[in-house]
Amino acid sequence: MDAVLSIDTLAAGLRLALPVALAALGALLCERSGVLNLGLEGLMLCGALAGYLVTDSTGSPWVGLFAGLVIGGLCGALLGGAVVYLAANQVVAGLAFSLIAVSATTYVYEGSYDIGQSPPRIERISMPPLVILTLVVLGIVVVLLRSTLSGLVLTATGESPVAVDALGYSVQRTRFFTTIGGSALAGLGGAVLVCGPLGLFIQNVTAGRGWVALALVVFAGWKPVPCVVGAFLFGVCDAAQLRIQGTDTGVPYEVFLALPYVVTLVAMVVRGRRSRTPATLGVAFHRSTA
Amino acid sequence: MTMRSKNHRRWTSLLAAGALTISIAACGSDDETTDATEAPAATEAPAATEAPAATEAPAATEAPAATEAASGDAPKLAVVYSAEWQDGSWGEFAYDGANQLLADGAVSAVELQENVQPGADAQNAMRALAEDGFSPIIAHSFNYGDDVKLVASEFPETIFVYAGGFGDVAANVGDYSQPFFEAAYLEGILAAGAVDGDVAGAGGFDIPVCRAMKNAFLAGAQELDPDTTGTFVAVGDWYDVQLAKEAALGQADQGATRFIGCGQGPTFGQIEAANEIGGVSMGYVGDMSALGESVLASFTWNLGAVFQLMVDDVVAGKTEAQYYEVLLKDGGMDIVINPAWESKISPEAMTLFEEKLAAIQDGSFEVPFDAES
Repeated sequence: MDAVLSIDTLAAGLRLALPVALAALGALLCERSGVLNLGLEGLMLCGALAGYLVTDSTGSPWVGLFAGLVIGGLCGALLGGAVVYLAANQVVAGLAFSLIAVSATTYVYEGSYDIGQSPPRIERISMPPLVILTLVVLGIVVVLLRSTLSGLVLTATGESPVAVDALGYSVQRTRFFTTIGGSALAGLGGAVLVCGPLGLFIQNVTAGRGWVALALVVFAGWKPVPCVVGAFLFGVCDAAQLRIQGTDTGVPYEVFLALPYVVTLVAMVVRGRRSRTPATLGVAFHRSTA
Repeated sequence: MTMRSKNHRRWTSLLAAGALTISIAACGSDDETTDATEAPAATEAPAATEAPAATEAPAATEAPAATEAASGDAPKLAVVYSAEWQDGSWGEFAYDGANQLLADGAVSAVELQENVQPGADAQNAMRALAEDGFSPIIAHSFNYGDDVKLVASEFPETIFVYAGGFGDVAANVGDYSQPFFEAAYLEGILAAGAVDGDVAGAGGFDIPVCRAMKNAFLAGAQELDPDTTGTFVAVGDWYDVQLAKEAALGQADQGATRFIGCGQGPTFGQIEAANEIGGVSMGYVGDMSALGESVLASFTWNLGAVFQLMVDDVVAGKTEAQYYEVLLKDGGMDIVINPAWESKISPEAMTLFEEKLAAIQDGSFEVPFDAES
């Protein structure tokens, strides 16, 4: 049991948490402005593939991270254009994007290497710079939301778009650019996964981390610091359950596999009473009918 | 309702319909049907240098048997898989094995469908293949078990086989063995001759094939290092490399240095972890020597030989499937030692490895199958 309650477990939790935390911060921004970004899993995958391919061709994982950020933002522009300006159903558009992204990234990846060829491992970034990067992103999101006019407008757009519109701010432009920014962070999260702990890409490499990030936003009550703390908690639970399996407990392993989800569920139930969903989350804004 | 609102709804409907159409098209399986007369797959097969069997397959243009098979007498083989063929492992060897049979003229056509998800997708795909006259239809994943049994009951004249690995046979539903534990045992001997430390096994889930691999690997290591112990971790996913790597690092924290994975994701994760801590790892279904300096040995899987048994049953007119098994002694697998490690393995381990390999091949020794501990 000493192996479970150790610094190594916390370090492993941190490694597991970083990609999810960045994606969750991206989702949080989108949701605070009223856009339910269900394309998060697909955005992470696109960012991961971009990070991998660019690092492979340039030799610099930092350039790979930047590529993940940019591709995430570009995909966010596509998604944002659909759900904000065309008022597409946010659930359908987000899910469709994630489905397409799984296939598209597989297609591009397959086309990049011949069958029978071993895709190369890429240069990786060590954990300390990635931890600092995540904390910097967290700091920017906190300052943006708490201490800037833009952050206030962003939050108000999710709560009362009519009031924001009446004050002369553009609801659609705010949501569009927030979706781009949030999606860029999700892409960065995917790139961090590939350019940080892994150094490789395989089909569906994110393995559902985007969906976990979406749940974390609810768990965190749409607040950035609890969002990152929740990602760390989830990561530590995952790291702990893997280590507990290595000890002879006699408990079925399925119980341990469920541990992170049980902890998240309990935390959401406990925190649920105090959480406050953005009032117009998932609702398109039509100025003419507002 | 204003005109603009109507336009918005119209756009929304169009976008949703478009997105769904694209996603359905994109998510649909990538079909690849090849006739022996066309035989592009046969010429592609030798390109997969990882598959020794495939490299032996002659080009279709040089193979009279292939043109003979084009008369239509030979059965049509179909393989469906839940991920991409190009995975450097499990999928790729099925791709090579099927194309090898086509190149040999054992089948008149091959249909290869990748990214077919278990459930409704797999059932629809297999129904369509059965209606098109394909038999045997091979579902190349453990997760297809329920789908195969459902569809097979509708086509009693067609042989369906899935990768159960535990003898799950009934009527026209067959299963094929994955005797990887034999290779794992030999790899355990090599690992014990390369580094000191405990054994770490990991699989996507705790299934008999994976558990037996780890136990055989441990038994092999204990031939030279009786005090070594081992643990097994189920990652909970066949493709989550990060989780698998963390599982392996957790085992390393408890003293493991000799890693063996079951499944592509767990194996990739273990290789990465072993690279970091200076341990040794084993490649899984494919020569993974190029994936990291820690890869000591790998095993390749001659799926062409396994598929041939199924085709033989169809040719013989059988409608009852079997448990198809090709063991190491029958050429079912090959052990590939990473050239970079050959000089670092102790002579004692190499000698024992060669003795045990010879004993397995001549039938005087059987690796014990233990999927319990």
